[in-house]
Formats: sequence, structure tokens, C-alpha cells
Amino acid sequence: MISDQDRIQSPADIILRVENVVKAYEMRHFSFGGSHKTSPAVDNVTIRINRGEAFGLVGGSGSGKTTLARLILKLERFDAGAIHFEDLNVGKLKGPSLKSFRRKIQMIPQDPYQSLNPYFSIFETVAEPLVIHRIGDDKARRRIVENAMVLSGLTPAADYYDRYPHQLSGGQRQRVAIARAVVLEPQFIIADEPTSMLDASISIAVFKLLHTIKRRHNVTFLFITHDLAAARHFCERIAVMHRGKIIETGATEKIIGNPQAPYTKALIAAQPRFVSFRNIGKESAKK
Amino acid sequence: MQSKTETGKHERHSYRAKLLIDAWRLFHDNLIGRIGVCLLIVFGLMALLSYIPPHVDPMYHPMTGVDPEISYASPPSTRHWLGTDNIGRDILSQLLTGARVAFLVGISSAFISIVIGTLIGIVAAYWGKMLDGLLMRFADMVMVMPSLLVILLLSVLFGQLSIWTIVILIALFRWPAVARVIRSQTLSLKQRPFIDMARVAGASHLRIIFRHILPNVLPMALLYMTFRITSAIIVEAALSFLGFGDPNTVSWGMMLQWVWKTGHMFQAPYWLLPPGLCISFMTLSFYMMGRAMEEVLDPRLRRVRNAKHAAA
Amino acid sequence: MPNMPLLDVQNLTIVYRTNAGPVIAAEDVCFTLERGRAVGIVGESGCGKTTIGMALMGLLPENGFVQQGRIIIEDTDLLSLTKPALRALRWKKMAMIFQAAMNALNPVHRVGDQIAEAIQTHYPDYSADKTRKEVAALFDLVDIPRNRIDDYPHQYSGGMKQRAVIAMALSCKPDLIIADEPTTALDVIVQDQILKKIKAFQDDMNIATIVISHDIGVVSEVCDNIMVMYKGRMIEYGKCEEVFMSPAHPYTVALLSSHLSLDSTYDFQADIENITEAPAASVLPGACGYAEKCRHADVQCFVQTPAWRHLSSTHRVLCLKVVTNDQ
Repeated sequence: MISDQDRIQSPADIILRVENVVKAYEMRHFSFGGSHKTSPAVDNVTIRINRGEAFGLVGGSGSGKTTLARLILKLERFDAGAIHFEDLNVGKLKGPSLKSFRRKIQMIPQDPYQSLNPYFSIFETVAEPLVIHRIGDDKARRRIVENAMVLSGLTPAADYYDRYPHQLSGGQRQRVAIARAVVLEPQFIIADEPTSMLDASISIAVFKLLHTIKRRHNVTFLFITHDLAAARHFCERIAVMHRGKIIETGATEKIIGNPQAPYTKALIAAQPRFVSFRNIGKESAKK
Repeated sequence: MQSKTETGKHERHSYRAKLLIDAWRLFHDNLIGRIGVCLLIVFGLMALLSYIPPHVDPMYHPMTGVDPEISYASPPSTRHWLGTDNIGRDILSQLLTGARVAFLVGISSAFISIVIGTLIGIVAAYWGKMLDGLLMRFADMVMVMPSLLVILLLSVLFGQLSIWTIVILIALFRWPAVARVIRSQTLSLKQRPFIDMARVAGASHLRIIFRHILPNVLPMALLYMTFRITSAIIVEAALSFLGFGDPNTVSWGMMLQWVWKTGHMFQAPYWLLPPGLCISFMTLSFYMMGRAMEEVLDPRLRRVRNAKHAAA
Repeated sequence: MPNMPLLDVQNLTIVYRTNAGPVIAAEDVCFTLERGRAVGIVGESGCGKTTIGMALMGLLPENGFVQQGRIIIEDTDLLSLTKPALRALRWKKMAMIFQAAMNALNPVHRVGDQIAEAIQTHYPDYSADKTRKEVAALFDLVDIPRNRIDDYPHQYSGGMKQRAVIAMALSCKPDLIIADEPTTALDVIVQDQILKKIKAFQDDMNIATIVISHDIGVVSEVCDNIMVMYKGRMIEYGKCEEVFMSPAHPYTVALLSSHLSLDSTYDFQADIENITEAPAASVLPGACGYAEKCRHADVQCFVQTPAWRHLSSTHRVLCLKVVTNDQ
């Protein structure tokens, strides 16, 4: 297990560097006649993510965590700062270099009902990235897709090929989204609240799956969540984001055990707690 | 609620097939849609049957066939089921051919305007900003032009227009409404995560437009096509009635013009009524079908009666 | 009368008519609820928990109906009431905080006016001034500043909208509040505030509460009793402590185990097998709905209708595999 990684890493270990990134949205105020920028959605954010770790980005709604993910994925442009993925300068990517960047970094979206194209069969959905990057012939693609789907827990894979998203449950759809994310064998996956729309028993299965992927394929995860408990179970390090700013970064246990920022303290205090058969031993041990 | 998962088990259809099945179910429940479809089937049969009369006897040819024994407007008889016009041409065979022409004009001009409108709508919404502004202002300009008047002016300038020129002109004036609707659809689609996911996967703009966006806006485009058909038929009928139609084809508007020009307006109801009714009912039937399709596509329009399908 | 429960639900079975035939949404649901107490209904989406809430409000969709059972609030049998009589009771006796409360407010009307309208529908003799005072008092109650009364819903944050909806539910001083996923889509911090608020009303105003949620954490914050549902059936019912400390039904155990909290640990490595969502074998109608996913299930579970077993006077479970002392 990776222990306290607060200390600065040697650059070789860092897969993603976000430095002083700022993003503000233009708001049109008709009463003023012009357009001007409001307080930034992402305000001077700096994070470093090490290769092979799961890094949690925790924050409430409107804290800017999803915007930051979109900036890293180059779905939107940032106003200032720099993002480096390995040796690529994300802000300057274009054409072929952008396309090869897209092979290395993938995303698992939040809403399994909205993130799959309703007109694509499951096979087409998972194979789409392969088609885009012209990987393999039909036969090879079939094999790669099957592997990705089996890895994601959709077995037997052939049963799902000709189905369509509307015929699957939320958990199955999220597995399809995961299969699509891993089919290109990316080095980095951004998971944006991948379980927030799922029932508890299904989301635990999705967590297990992400855990397996991380372990077996040495994938680095940026895990975005509003749920500190989920981050605690999945991530080695977390950053707490509030109103566009990173207010605290560090090893997960350290932040949860000894929070410094007032917002982090409030967040921990607000977590629902109940004594159940699972933590009774621990509770009594504490007392 | 529970049945959501239950239905998934035995329905193994593609999304398109599911839409079609849903559409059929709603049509089945929707009286207006059923009436519309029945009427359209009747008109379709008429269009098909229009090929028969000239083969029975050359005198039944809608344009050139003249009954050698009748040279005046005659009421229905066993020889001419709906009567003849003032030079002895068979009204029934003209009526049947008119159905064919109405379908041709309606569907082809609607199709062209849908293609133009959909492309412009998607492009405007997808690239946004300047291009969006330019295209939409252009669409506004075309939209506010009185299309009938402009086409009339053009035909005055260039003499008689052929039926295909008319088709294309109607199409060129009728795309802006389609473009507006498709643009707003695309704008909301662009916000849907699966478009982002396609971008994350590395898809090019063209691929996103044609593989991901187009299939999703196509149902709406088809809906608009039924409404465009209605308006195209009306515009063509109006042009023909005013005497600016293609003189080489029989259309219902043309028939009405002949009634009018030869002064039979109030003398020969058997001549006036059939084309008039046909124009009304055909536009009505496309309109009804469009309304029913709208209900299929837009769940908000479904009445409580249909709520059980939504729940199921 | 302290012993007399406010709400008594007996053998409630709710069926939906669908194209594919009738679907049982809730089967044989029994529970009672006293004033000032709260019961939580937990279960996965589609387990019938919202249906029960809707039935208690008399708001089942058109194709849903109560096949059998009784719902008695105080001494009125809800199911025997006519529609107008039911409408008169609704909001006065029982009120609901709807799922997706964000959309429950009409965007074109001021929030204060919407609450005032709710009050005036049930108390037509109130003057405009008195209604206004009532609205202001409600705003105080749910901690929304009074100067926001004349704002529109879009000017409110998510948490404030939720509070406004709670204020609306409280407007006619109901005896029973049904909160259907009251905090879904809210931040943890806001969720905590809202739950504390609900808890406070329950204690201060002696209101009975039913909290419907898929999140066991939410229920644990507010409720005294808990009902676990699976595929339309109640499968376990008991005091929160009992169910949390000694869950009897395998599904309840799984549900509690899958709850991630700051205190418990979950060992991903130890239990790496994937839970498949496809059924392994077909279960006979009437038999345990969880049999196909259950580790402890045997042939019996797939064919036999389970019966209630009592673990204590307050704790019961619907499972064939549970061994109790009284057998």
C-alpha cells in the first residue's frame, strides 16, 4: 500500500500535473448589456496525481470538481494555468496528438442513463473507440470488446452484444460505460461519481470492479465524488474542493482522521453514522 | 415500476424497433392517427390505381384522352363514374393522377426541405457562435418571406415552371422551420453525456454529427416532414389554381383552375367537389398523422389515457 | 391515547395494470406508526417503496389500485373515502415531500405565494394577512430568511428549495409526513441539515414521519423503526438498533454491508467475485424473491412461500433460513 504521499514526488512518477488552472464561465447579464466573467468555477487549482494511484476529488455540488475533470479531458478550454499529462501539454493538443492523448485517458460518466447513445447496440457502444482509433480488424475487435466486457462483469459477453441501453438495468449500463472506458486500455481513467445514481448493492459491485481494474491493469484513477465515505474506500489520496478551490490535499486517512479546513470538518461531521453489526467491534475498541 | 425490468426480458429489439413498436401502440390508441393513416392508405391506392384507366381505353387518359362522343361537362355516368370535364376528359382518372402528383410534390419537396433544414440545423447548433448566428439569421430571412408570392413572381418572370422546379422552390422556402427545430434538438443533445463520451473516445466532428447526433434527431425530422408535406401540397395547389402550375401535369389545383376558368364553378359540382375534397382530406390526413407522431415523440403531449404505456 | 397508533397499515397489496398484465408493486405490507415516531422504508429502486407512499397519500397513478388491505389514519379508513373526502384530508392529515422536490415548485410563481395557496385551499376563511403570517412562520421554521419569501424558485439553492417544499408540506399542520427520497441530489452537508430539520419537527410537533430512501444512512439518522423491502415485499421490520445490529434477512445483511461509511471497512480484495445481475434459476411465484441471489438459499427457498418469523416482539423477518427460538 502506498503510505503518506504528501511529499513531492520525483517528476517521473507523476502522471498528471494540474498547475494553477483557472476556468470562469461567461455570464450574460442583459441588464448590463455586456458579458463578463463571474467568480471562477475552477480557481487556481493545482494537483499532482501519481502513476497507479487512486486520487479522490471530493466536493459538494457546484464545487467545480466536474468542471476540472472536463478541463483535464480537454472537453473545455481553461483560461489560465497548465495541465500536463505525462509529457503532453494538454492545453496545446491538436489533431493527431489530441487523438493519441484520447487513447490514454478515458472517462466513466456519472449518469448511466444519459451516457450511452440509445441508437447504439452494446457491441457498437463498446467497439466505437476501437473504430475511431482504427484498432484491429473485425475479428480482433470482437476479441478486444469481449475481453473488456468480461472484465467489466458483463458475462457472457455475447448475450449483450445485440442489446440496446434501454434493455439494461442501471448497473448493467454502468458496466457498459466501464467496458467502453477500458477497451482502449487507457493509463488514466476519470470516474465522475460513477455510482451516485445506483443502488447501494450495485454500487458496491461497481466499486469492486473499479478496484479490480486498478489492480490488474495498473490504471491511475481520478475519482470524483461528493461522498467522503466512498472516497475513503477507494482512494489513497484525496483533495477536498470547495467553491472552485482545493482546500485540502493529502493521504485519505490523514484527512479524514485529522481534517484541517473547516469545510472538511463540516463534511465529515455531516456524514450519516450509525452503529451496525459491521463496525461494532471497532466502536467498542475506540471506547 | 417493476415492469420496467420485466419488459426488458422479452423485448430484444433495437432502439429503432422499440420506437416503431411504441409508435404503433400509440397509433393504435390514437383515433386521429388511425384516421389519418386510413385516409392515407386510400390516397395511396388512388395514386397506384391512376396507372390503370389509360390502359383500359385511351380516352381515359387524364390529359390527352377525350371521349369522342362527349364534348361538354357531363355528370357521372356508367361510362365516366365521376363525369367528364368540358372537353370530355374523365374526371376520375384526373383525380387519381392528381393523387399521384400530390404525393410526388408533397413527399419530394418535404424530403428536400428536411435534408437542407436538418443539415443546417445540426451544423448551426454544433459549431455555434458566429456560424450559428449567420445561419439562423439567414433562416429567419427566408422564413419571413411570403413563399407563395415569391414563387408567383418567379413564375411570372420565368414563364411556366415545371413540376420539379416547383418542388425545389417549395423546398427552398420551407426549410427554416425545420432547421430551427433541429437546431434546438441538437443543442440539447450536445449537452447529453454520450456526446461528450464520443469526444473523449476521440471521435471526429463529422463522426459525432453523422453517427451520434443525426440518428437522434431523425425522428423529429421525420415528424416535421409530415407537416412539410401538408404545406407543400397546399402551396402547389394554390399555384396551380392561380394558373402557375405545370401545364403538362394534372394536379388537383389544376383541376380546380379548369373548373374556375371554364365557368363551371356553380354549374358542375361533380367536377368542383372531388379535387377540392381530395386536397382538404389529403392535407388533413398528413396533418393528423403528424399530430399522432408528435404525441409519440413528445411524451409531454401524451394524455393520461396513455400514461399506462409510460408506466409499463 | 398514547397506545393507539396514528397510522395502521394492514395487509396492503397494490397492483398495477400494465400491457403485460397485472404487476404486484407491493404485497402484504403491514406496519403501524405512532405520533412523533418515524419509520424508514429502504430498498432498491423499483422495490415498491414509493408506491406505498403514494397509496398512503391516495395518489396512486390511474393504473394502480389497492387490491386488498386497509390504511387507517387515526380512525379513518383511507380506502373507503370518496375522492373529495380524500382531497380534504390530504395535506391536513398527511403530507408528502416528493422525490425530486426541485421540480415540485412552480417556476413562474413566487415561493411564498405557492405556500400561501396551499394554506388557503385548506383554510379558505384565512385572511390574506393571516396567511402571510403563517407563511412567514413556516419560513422561520425551516430556516429560510423571511426576505426570500417573494423570490422565485430559480433564485433558491437546491437545499433552500428542499426546505421550501418541506415548509409546504408542513403548511396545513399534518399529523403524518411522508418524505420520499428527501435528500437525493443534495450535498452531504445540506442533507445533514435537512434530516436534522425533519427529526426536529418529529420531536417538537409530534408529527409521525415515514422516510422512504434507498440510502440506509439517511434512514438511520431519522427513524426509530425500519422496514426493508425487496421486490414489493417487506422482508424485515424492526427497531433500527435491532435491524442494524443483528440483521436477519440475507438481503438486509447485504444492504448493510454495501453501505460505505467513515467507520466501517470494506475489503475489496477479500471479496472480488462480481455479483451478477442475471438470475441463476427461476423462482416459483410466491417464493422468496431474493432466492436467486441469496448465498444461503436452497431448494426450499425457490418453491416455498416464506412466513414471518419473530426474533423479538418488535423484530420480524420473512425468511425460511432464519432460526428463531420459538420453533
